[in-house]
Amino acid sequence: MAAENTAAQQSAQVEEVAATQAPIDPKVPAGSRTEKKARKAMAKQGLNPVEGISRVTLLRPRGIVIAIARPDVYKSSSSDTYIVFGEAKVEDMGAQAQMAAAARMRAAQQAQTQQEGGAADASSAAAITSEDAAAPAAAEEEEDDEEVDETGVEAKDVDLVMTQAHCSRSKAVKALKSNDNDIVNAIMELTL
Amino acid sequence: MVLPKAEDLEQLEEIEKQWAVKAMYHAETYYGLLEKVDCTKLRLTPIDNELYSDFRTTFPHINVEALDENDFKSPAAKITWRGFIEKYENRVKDYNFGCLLRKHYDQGYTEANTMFVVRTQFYCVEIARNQLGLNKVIYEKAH
Repeated sequence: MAAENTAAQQSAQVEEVAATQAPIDPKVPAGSRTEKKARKAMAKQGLNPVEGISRVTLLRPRGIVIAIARPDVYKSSSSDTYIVFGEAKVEDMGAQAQMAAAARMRAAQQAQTQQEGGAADASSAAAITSEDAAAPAAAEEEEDDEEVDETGVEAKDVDLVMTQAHCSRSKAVKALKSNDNDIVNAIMELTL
Repeated sequence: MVLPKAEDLEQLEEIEKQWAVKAMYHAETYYGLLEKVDCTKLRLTPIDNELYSDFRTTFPHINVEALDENDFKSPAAKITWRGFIEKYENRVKDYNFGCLLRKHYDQGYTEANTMFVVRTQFYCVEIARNQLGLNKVIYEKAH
């Protein structure tokens, strides 16, 4: 199948990139069986690797940052969904300490064999930072465009939640449903 | 809400403090809404009308323009409120969650103007303020 061929070529490209960092095993990145399966499944989903992303950060409340250095980022070709592979590190500190840690991590990462932890779904990402301006799409907030059944929620409530929480329609509908149509709680769920 | 991941478990020690964070956030979110939309069109629960009429019948003396803390915190008031609140246990989401309420409708969540109530009480007062159009002042102030 043509689609699978393309996916295979692209994943080969990614492995080339990985190879420069992990000369020990150029063909297969160090990872569990589960991860290989996940990667294979992803290739079938029409996910394309996004090059040039050196760091993905997930911002949580109270200054807690989950950072994935040198991630493998895949983007769905049909929607704005990102899948991020890499070792996540929790950082909980001030901005300056964060920068120091990022520098340290980058240095450590180069010496370290590329380790691939579990997959981190970008759905919880508050922001994806990219140091490469060539990949501005990665800075966009993740959204899923899937159609959602809007029965049981009122359109004006959905609009209100969308504008207040700056989220996609489907997320607004889901939040309203899980919060009993409570607008305030729905916005809280999406923004907290 | 997404369940906490294993690596975030240490944060759960703070869970005792979480209600305060959440209550504050709820208050801010609600106030933000009042600034953005016409309150008479704002619906807080699926049973706004029922809550409003029950609140008015049970507590006809409560002036929602300027709340008297005794109407909520005195021993007698607490008993009446408890009976009222329990009725909505299964129908109002988070019916007994701690919540911040403004004493005077025309002021924001300042230290002096804020008191601590449960969610059902918050709904009763704020639904009344919205239906009477009192909260329009917040909207007008912001525009």
